[in-house]
Amino acid sequence: MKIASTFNQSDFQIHHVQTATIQNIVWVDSTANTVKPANLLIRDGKKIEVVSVETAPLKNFPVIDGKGYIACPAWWDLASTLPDPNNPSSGNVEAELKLAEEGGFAQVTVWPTSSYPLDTPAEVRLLQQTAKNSALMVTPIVALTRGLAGERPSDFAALKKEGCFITTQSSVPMTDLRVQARCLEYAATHHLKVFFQSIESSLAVGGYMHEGEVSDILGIPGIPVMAETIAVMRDLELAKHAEVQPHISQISCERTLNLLHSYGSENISADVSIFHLCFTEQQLINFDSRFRVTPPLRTESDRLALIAAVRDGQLAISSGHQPRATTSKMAPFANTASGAATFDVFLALGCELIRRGELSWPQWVKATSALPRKILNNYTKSEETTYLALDDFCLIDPDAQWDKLPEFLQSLGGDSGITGFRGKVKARVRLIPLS
Amino acid sequence: MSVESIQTRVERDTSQFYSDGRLKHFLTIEGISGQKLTELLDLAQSFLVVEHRAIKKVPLLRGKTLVNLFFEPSTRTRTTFELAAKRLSADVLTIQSQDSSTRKGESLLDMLRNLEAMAVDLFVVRHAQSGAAHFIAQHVTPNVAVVNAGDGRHAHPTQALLDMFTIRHFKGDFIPLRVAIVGDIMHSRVARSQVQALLALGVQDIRLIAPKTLLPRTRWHPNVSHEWELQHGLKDVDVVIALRLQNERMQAGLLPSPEEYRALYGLTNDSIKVLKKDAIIMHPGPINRGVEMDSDIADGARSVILDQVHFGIAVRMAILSKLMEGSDREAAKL
Repeated sequence: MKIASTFNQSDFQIHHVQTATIQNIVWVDSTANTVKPANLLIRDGKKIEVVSVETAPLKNFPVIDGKGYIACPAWWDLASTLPDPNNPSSGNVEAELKLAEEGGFAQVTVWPTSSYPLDTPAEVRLLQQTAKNSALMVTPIVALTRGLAGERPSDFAALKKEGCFITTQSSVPMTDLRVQARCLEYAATHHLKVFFQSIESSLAVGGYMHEGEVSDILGIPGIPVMAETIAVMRDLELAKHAEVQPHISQISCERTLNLLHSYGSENISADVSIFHLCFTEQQLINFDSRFRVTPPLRTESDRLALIAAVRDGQLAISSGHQPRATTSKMAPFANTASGAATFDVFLALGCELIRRGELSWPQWVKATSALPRKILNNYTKSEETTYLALDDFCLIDPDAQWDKLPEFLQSLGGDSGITGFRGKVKARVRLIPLS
Repeated sequence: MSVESIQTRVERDTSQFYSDGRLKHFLTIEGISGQKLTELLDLAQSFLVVEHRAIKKVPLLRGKTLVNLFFEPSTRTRTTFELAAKRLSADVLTIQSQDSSTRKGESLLDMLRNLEAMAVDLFVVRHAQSGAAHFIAQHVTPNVAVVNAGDGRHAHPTQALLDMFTIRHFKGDFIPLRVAIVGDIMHSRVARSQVQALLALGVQDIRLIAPKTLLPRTRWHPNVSHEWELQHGLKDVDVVIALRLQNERMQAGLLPSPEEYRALYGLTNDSIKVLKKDAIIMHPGPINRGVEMDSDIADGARSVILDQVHFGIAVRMAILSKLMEGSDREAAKL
């Protein structure tokens, strides 16, 4: 049980109370597409009720002035990678989950990797055990094929007993499409949802960034847009054949959006990472390996198309969190690791999009909370009834100064070209355990 | 609500200059003005006389230590840098990839730190990865200069500068020239730097000639055209620069065979008939004779290929001395 808040302990002793009223917050309702003043009634440290500002506070309990704060459901993430719990040198799972918690996430979806493929009940249990002290809900996505080796399906029946309900081959290529089709059929047998990160490896191999203007200037081999579009077509056809429900994760370009439209979007969901909404290939013009991600950052017209799709409610926003050791980024560009840690900067980047006028608060909340819940079959209509579990709730001060900016945001000042980050990042979320 | 493009273009790194505009590193031609390039060419011109002296040395870099850090094979570039530094009286250390501790797993950054601990003043770097020289320049101690001697497909600015020196030597004014670059443009660091230098010096007509598989994906500048047909591209050209065709290109499915490439894009007595009468033919080397050009052309009257090598020493002397001048002034401020 926790409350998400920017409040300092001295501002509001909220973490000591089980029942309280927070007055004059701004409530973001993604269903009604509204942002309106409201009061919050917290009862028994469990549920929050959103009521009109005229509603009287709960008698005999603390009343807190929440003026200037935005209230909304917490984020549900669809695409994150965590360090291998078996290998402490790859990072610390608990530390990553703490970052997510502090960043406003209520849930994270953990993808399999080659080193930690989440293909056995033991691996799933180890992840759950490692995450047990976190207030977050951790949803493991299990490997479609054992070890992500592309040879035979994982033991889905055993994995389902552990509560797993999603599978993916991640971006690890399968050389034999017939095997992939069979693995998907086996996943369908167990009613698993399938997440795809669609990249045609033979077109992406040897590439390090988007193939286009900047790769031409830098002389860095590129990854063409068709590496994604061809793979999306392939994956959608395979999903149709196998009768599995596909989710296309972390799309990067306008042409993929066009493809999804042409297939009809009723049973196909998709997400885009926060990086792809905020940045383009231009960030790489000085060989900045912090922006080397998979799929690569594309063009400004792609970014604008992705933004438009989020605004239209077609795309969820995922973190794309993929933490990397600092040393893995300290090399010539092509020798660096692909991936970026985004849990801590997720909200700040979102606030930047809202400040720019590219997204509204309801659009942000729909894409980060309502849509992911639907995709994860966990939509409870809570937004519509205006009741929220306390675990699933955020209070945001969009103008709050960070005590200390994450290193990534600090370094985006100066010549980054992102004017909004020149010391103006003001949003943060802190989750305080409710005793 | 309509969404307008807000994402601004990120400025190119200007770390190769000190705040007063003097050269700090020499990493790319991009961002260097025509005037500054001309100053470097003029300085190189003044160094040409050194080789005619009884003692081929000047004391400009006396007491300075230069490390040639070559992670890729090189003959001309490495040796001309070594000669240039020695003629400037620098102490020179050359480390080639087979001697490099990075082969034992040491990171490039750790290797750099160790070499810096030996009070090195200047690194000349060749590396297979684009951006490697930028990476090193970002991490060296202040006042240690870095020269890019070729990084991946990105840039080879000293080669481009010596090519400009050669063109100026034979042709004088750049502005009226028509220049053709023939061959594997897409994978060529030399071509990228040459085009940047030619544009900075005012050339209005630059033609990149190759099959589509070897041309850049985007057009670099309005004055730079793409040509698929050799004869059309070479017509009335003043300067032709042929590029080396690597065998890997055939293996990657970009071309069917060296024979077909020669037939379509090789410089032969027949194919160069459309050039201007006084056109010069250049090549950064090494040449695949019988592929990108026939021996008759490489050794013919129009070829200035050995002049390029010759001028390379003076041009590299100019760059090294200019960098040390900037570094010394900066150190004096401390």
